[in-house]
Amino acid sequence: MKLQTKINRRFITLLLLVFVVAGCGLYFILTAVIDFNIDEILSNRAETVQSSLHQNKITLPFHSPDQTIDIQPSNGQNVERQFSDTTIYAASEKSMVPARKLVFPDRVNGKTYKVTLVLSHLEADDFVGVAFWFMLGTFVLIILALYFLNRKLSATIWNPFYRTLKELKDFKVDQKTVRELPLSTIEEFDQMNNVLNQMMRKMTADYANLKEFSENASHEMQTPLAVVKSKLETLLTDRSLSEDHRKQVQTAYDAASRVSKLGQTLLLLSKIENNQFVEKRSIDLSALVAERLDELDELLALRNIKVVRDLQNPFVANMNPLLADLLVTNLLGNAIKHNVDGGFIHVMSQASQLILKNTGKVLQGDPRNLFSRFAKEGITKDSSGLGLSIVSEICKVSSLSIDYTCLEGVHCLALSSR
Amino acid sequence: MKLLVVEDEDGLRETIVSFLEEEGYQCEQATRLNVALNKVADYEYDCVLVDIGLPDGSGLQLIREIKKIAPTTGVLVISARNSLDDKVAGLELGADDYLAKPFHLAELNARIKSILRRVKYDGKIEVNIERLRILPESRQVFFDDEAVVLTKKEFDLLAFFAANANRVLTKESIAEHLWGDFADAADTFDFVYSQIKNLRRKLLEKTGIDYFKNVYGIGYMFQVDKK
Repeated sequence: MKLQTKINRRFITLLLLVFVVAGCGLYFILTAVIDFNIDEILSNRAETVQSSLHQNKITLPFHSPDQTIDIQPSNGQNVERQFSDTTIYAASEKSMVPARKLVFPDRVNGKTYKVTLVLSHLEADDFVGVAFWFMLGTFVLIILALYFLNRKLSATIWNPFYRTLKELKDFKVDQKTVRELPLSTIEEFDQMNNVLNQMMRKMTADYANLKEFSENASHEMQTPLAVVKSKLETLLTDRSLSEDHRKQVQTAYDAASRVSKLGQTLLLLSKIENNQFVEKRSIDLSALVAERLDELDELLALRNIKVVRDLQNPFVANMNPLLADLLVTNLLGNAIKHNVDGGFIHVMSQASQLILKNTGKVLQGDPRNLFSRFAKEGITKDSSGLGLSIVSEICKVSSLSIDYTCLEGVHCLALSSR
Repeated sequence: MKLLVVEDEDGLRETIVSFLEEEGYQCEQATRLNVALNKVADYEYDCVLVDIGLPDGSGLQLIREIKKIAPTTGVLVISARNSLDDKVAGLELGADDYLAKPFHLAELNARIKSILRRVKYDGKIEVNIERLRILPESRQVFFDDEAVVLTKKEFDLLAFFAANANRVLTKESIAEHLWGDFADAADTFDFVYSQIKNLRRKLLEKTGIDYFKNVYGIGYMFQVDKK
């Protein structure tokens, strides 16, 4: 629910309550005022009737045809002067209508009479009716005014808010420059925009720092590692080294190699994320797969892996040539590394997708983690666990999508354009 | 053959220099861009190894200078920045090859030899090891005058070993030389083993000489009698 709608609902509910209370109040006040007025009119009439009676202008008993004046002997009844509500037949309305009655005693020629004067509320009722409709009209008018005000508000006053929202939606932490949120004429929005501007600046700066740090770390690592590796390699190939020492050096050498590869791969990943591979052109990935498979022929033969190729329909992607190469290398490398001896690799390409199926051990972990970093199956010394995250990063920056399915020991990776 | 090694990291430079001297090269060293610029202005080198990130400037400047003064000097870029930009920039300036740190010394050796062949002899020189003749340009191998038929990978392997004769080559360096990007993507050590087995068998059949020596747990050595 929109904020304005919510406010309006509360407002209208409250307004309705106020109108009901005010209406009731007005009704009671009006009827009281009217009653008071009618009573006054009745009192005036009573005086006229009394003076007429005392001057014997009226023949007693008297009953007016419109039932407004009735003078009857009291017959010993105790009559007291009092006002009360009653009803009277109104010829104009052809029904009984509410009226006000004044009863009082009067002595004429030594005889007590009970005088009843009745006056209908008819005109006064119209008055209350008008007041009711007027209130209702005002209420409808307020709601209408509110509706148009809201339309104008969302078009103008809320505009800076929606603009901020759009900027925030487009905000990416890895963008180089932060677009400052514009200031409006509304204090609350300006306060929010200022805080958001500060936050975004801090976020991008922190992100850039962190990225730079990790890049520098992986980068600076390579030189000392080169020293370590070259020294160890020299030591390793020294024939005067004893077998026992050689084994220890070999272990250290292997570990240094792994660290170095890890650094290089992480650096590569951050470069892909940074979009440092800008140049794009259309690349026939099917042809690239075929080319790479040719190179891997001997390796595949050694592990007795059968390759089935359905690459007649080329799958073309618009991407960086180096990334395309990396993508194919990693996908095929993955398909070989995790394959079983005597298994198969099946590559199929269509205009819309490139499918790579291969036999392999059943996945132990969650397939959803397959593309995340350092997701390793079991303990493989020569696996960094970064191969498929490189694949997924390349897909991200190349407008490709990759899906994984596994059916009875056959792993299937499908690459398609987004 | 005279080489200049421009590298600011002491440990690495020392290793490279002692390795190359062992290989029979005459080596000079420079740790800073200014020193290196003076050296290339004063002396003539056959090949210069240039690190891009130097404390007082970029190695790219040195490459520009070398190619201006002595275009026939080979230039090998060694850079910790495994970035495409450096590689492209270096090669565009006229560097002959690019090697990312960390690298195998055997790989460095093979690359230097290949550069020297290219810049000094237009690549037309052949490598002679005892009675074996290896023609890098046409990718042919002869024993005396008899051709030895090798696959592409077997030839690469033989050329790599020939460049590093009488030196123990680790399985890692062989795998990386042959496979590059695929080296860690696939189970390449088995492959290295089977390739060497095939090459060894082919050479043995043709020549009756077993050139390869298995150095247990480490790798292999291409053994030839030193002249």
